[in-house]
Amino acid sequence: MTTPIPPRSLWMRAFAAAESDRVLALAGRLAIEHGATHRSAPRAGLALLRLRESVMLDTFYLGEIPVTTARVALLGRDGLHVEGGAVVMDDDVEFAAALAVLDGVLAHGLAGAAEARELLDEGLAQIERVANVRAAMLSRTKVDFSLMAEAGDDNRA
Amino acid sequence: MSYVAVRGGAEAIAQSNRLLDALRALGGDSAAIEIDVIERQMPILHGRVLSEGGLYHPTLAALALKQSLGDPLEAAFMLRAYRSTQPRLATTPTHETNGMRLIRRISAAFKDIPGGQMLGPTPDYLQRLFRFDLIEEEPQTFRDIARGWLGNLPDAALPTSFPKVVDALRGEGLLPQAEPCDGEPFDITRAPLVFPVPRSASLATMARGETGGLLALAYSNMRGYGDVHPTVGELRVGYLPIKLPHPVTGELIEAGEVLMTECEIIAMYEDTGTSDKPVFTLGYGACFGHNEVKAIAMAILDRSMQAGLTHGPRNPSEDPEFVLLHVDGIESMGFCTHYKMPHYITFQSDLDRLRTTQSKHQAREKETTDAR
Repeated sequence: MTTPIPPRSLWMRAFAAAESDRVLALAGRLAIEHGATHRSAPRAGLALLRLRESVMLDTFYLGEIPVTTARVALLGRDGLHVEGGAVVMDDDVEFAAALAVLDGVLAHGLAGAAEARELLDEGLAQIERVANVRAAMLSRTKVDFSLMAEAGDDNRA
Repeated sequence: MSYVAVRGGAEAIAQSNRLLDALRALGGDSAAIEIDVIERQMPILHGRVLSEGGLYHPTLAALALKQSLGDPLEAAFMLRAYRSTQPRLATTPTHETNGMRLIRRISAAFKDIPGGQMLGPTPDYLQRLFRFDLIEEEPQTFRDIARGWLGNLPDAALPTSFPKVVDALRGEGLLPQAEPCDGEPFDITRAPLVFPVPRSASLATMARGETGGLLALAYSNMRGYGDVHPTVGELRVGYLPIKLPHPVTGELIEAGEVLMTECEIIAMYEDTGTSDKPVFTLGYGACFGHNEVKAIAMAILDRSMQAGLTHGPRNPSEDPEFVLLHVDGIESMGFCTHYKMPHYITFQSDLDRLRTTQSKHQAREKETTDAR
C-alpha cells in the first residue's frame, strides 16, 4: 500500500533533492512521450529576498537569490493539454524544465506518474536524511544547564 | 626627470593575468581545489562571500573564492558583478524567520528559553590551539570523522524550528509593541542612498556590508563611543525555506532554502519621560551564511543608528550616513585599491604645484636674505 501523495507544494523541493541525473533522464523521456512544449520559455534570473525582521517588524531585502522558472504543456489522456510548472532556486533552465515536466505528469496522473512518484519519494527520503542530521546537530549540543551550587565541580554541559 | 601620460602595458597585463592563474599551480603537484571542497570545508569564508556579494549562489561563491585565490573581497566583487548581468525575475513574498530550520540557537539573556539552547557548530569553546594532525590528514581518517559523527543518528523527532525569545519578551510587555509594516522596502541594488534613508535601506546595506567594516564601527560603540550595551536576546543559525508562487497554480511552494544567521540584541531601556511605559530597546542583524560576528555587529549598529535618529548622532556609529557609506566592502576596497592605478597626470599636476610653491618659497627666502 502506497502512502498518500504529499501536497503539490512539497514536490519541487522533493524533486530537486532527488538525484539530478535521474530527474533529467526521466523527464526527458516523459517530455517526448507527452509531446511537451514550453508554455513560456524557461527563464533564469534573480529574485529579491524580502524578509521581515523580528524586532520592529519592518521588511527589508536580505539579498538576492537565483531563480529559474519553467512552464510546460503536456498532451493529456483525452488529447487536451495539461500544464506543469517549476520554480527553483537554481540557474539551470534545463533542470527547471525537467522539474516542470515531472510536476505536470504527476499532477495529472499521466503515463509515467508512478516513476515520477518514485523519484518524489526518493527526494523526500533525502530531505528526511538531511533533517535527521540537522536535528542531531541540535539534540547533541543542547545545553543542560544546572545551578553551580547543585553541580559542584562537575562542569557538565 | 619628466612625467608624461603614457599608454601601453597590454602584454604585461596579459602576462600578469596568466601568472596569477599559474600561481595556483606553481610550486607543487597538488590537485586543483574542487568547488565542492571550498563550500563544504570553508563554510565560514564561503558564507562571508555569499553575504557580502549579496547573492545566495553557493556554487558561484565557491568558484569566486577559487578564482580570486581566496580573497573574500574580490570573490564578493565577482558575485556582485555577476548579479548585475542577471535579469530580475521576481521579488519573493515576505519571509518570516520563525520557520527557519535551525542548526544553532543561543541566548545570552536567559538560560531557559522556549525549546532550549543548542550550541550547534561553534568555535566558541575551542582553545585556539593548533591541531597539527590536520597538516597531513589521511583521506580515510577524514572520512571517518563524518562516519563517526553520523553513527546512530536519532530520528528527527525533535523540531528544528522554535519560537523566538523576543516574542516571549514582547508578550511580557518588556519590549515595545510592534505592528507589521508592509511598506515597499528600499532596494539598494537599484537606488542610491540619499540621506535620510529608511531603516530598510540600512538593514539591506548592512546585510551585504563587509564583516570587518561592520565590526569596526560596532566595536567603537562597544568601547565607549556609544552606549548600546547589548545583550544577545537570541542568535540563530539555520536554513530559511524560500517560498515562491508555483507558475501554474500560483500556490506558494518551497523553491529552495538559504543558510542565514540572525541576531536580536536587547539594549538598555529608555525612559521617554512621557506616559509611555519604559521598555527595552532592540537591534536586529541578519545575513546570508554562518557569520555571527556580522549579525551581532549589524544588530548593534541598527540599534545605535536608531538612537542617532531619535537623539541626533552623538558618535560615528549613531550616524547612518557615516556607517552606511563606509561598510560596503566592494566600494571601500575599490576606492582603496584604485590608488595603485596610474595617477600620472594628477601626480604631475601635484608636482607642478609643489615646484611652483617651492620657487615662490625660494624667492621669498632670497628676498628676506637680501633685505638683511
